[in-house]
Amino acid sequence: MTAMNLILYSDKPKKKALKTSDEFSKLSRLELNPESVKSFNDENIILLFDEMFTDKSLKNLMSFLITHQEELSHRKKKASLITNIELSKAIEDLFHEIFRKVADIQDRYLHNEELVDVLRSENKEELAIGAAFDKTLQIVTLTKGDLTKIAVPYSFFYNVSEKLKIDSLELSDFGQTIKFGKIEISFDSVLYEYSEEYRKKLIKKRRTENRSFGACLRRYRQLKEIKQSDFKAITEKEIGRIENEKVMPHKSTIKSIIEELGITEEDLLTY
Amino acid sequence: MAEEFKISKTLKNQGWKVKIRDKERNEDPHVSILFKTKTWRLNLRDKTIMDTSPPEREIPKELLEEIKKDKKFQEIVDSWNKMYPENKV
Repeated sequence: MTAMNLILYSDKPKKKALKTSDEFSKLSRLELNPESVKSFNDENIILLFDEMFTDKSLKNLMSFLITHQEELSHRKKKASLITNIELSKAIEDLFHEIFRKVADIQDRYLHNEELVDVLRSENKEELAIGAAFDKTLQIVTLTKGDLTKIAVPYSFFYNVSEKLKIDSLELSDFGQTIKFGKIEISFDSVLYEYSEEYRKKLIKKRRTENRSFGACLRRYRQLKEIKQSDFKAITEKEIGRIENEKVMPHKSTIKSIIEELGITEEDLLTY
Repeated sequence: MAEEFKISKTLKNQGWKVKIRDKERNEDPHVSILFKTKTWRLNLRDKTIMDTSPPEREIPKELLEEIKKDKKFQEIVDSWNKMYPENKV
């Protein structure tokens, strides 16, 4: 997601907006004129929060969007929208035509101050900004900072505590924590369970960060273009098992490896 | 119930938090150090930071010193062992 600029739709004077949210008051505002159509590009996220405008102002916005709907929906690179207003099906359909991504976070969402920081952070895809419930199907949909969503069954939360009340869900710690009263669940534990993409990213990160003997050996070997089969004293299979941490090498094995590599163990562990 | 550990007022007011949540990622026993959108995990078995990003140098030294002090550290270890008896320190 390339969008970086946050644009607020608000008819509140900036001084009044300041009382609602210091962070929101600092954002640039969406004006409703033909030139504004250019703002609806993929570098921008439009924020539509009900506490920041009047009913009349919302009607003006809808009128603007309807007038320019064809131009906006045909754009190759569209803006995204985050909103906490209750959307009718008709408005939802219109928004999905005009915007690349629509994050409807009406049920629960981060406090404005935290929301702005999350939307601007480098790891926004690992932070939660909103939640929506389906009580019939017992699913919570969590919206991430990159405006993609992840669905989580109620049972995931009940496995932590049968006593927690899903309705009491709040997001805190800049989207890192899901709270149910005094019970807290890290959002990354949700991602770990339900996002294959996240797990793959983590494995890749672990492989570069892993400071174990096996991981350092693998990185050193790859850097020096040494094959697993190049070792005289240790079999290829054994080298593989050590690098994948299937076995912990004995001291004598480590000694053999570093002697063949012509390096000290201390040096090897810096790779 | 999640456990948030008391830290100096200065650090708390800056936005730092040190806590163990009821469900953390399935890893070595650790305490989470949070600052806005960032988290670091301190391994409770060897007192090392488990993550290389964000960089460890971004954590105030005084915060790490405070957490690693005997009494405070034991409090954290006891909390982890109570919350995660299947994965004790």
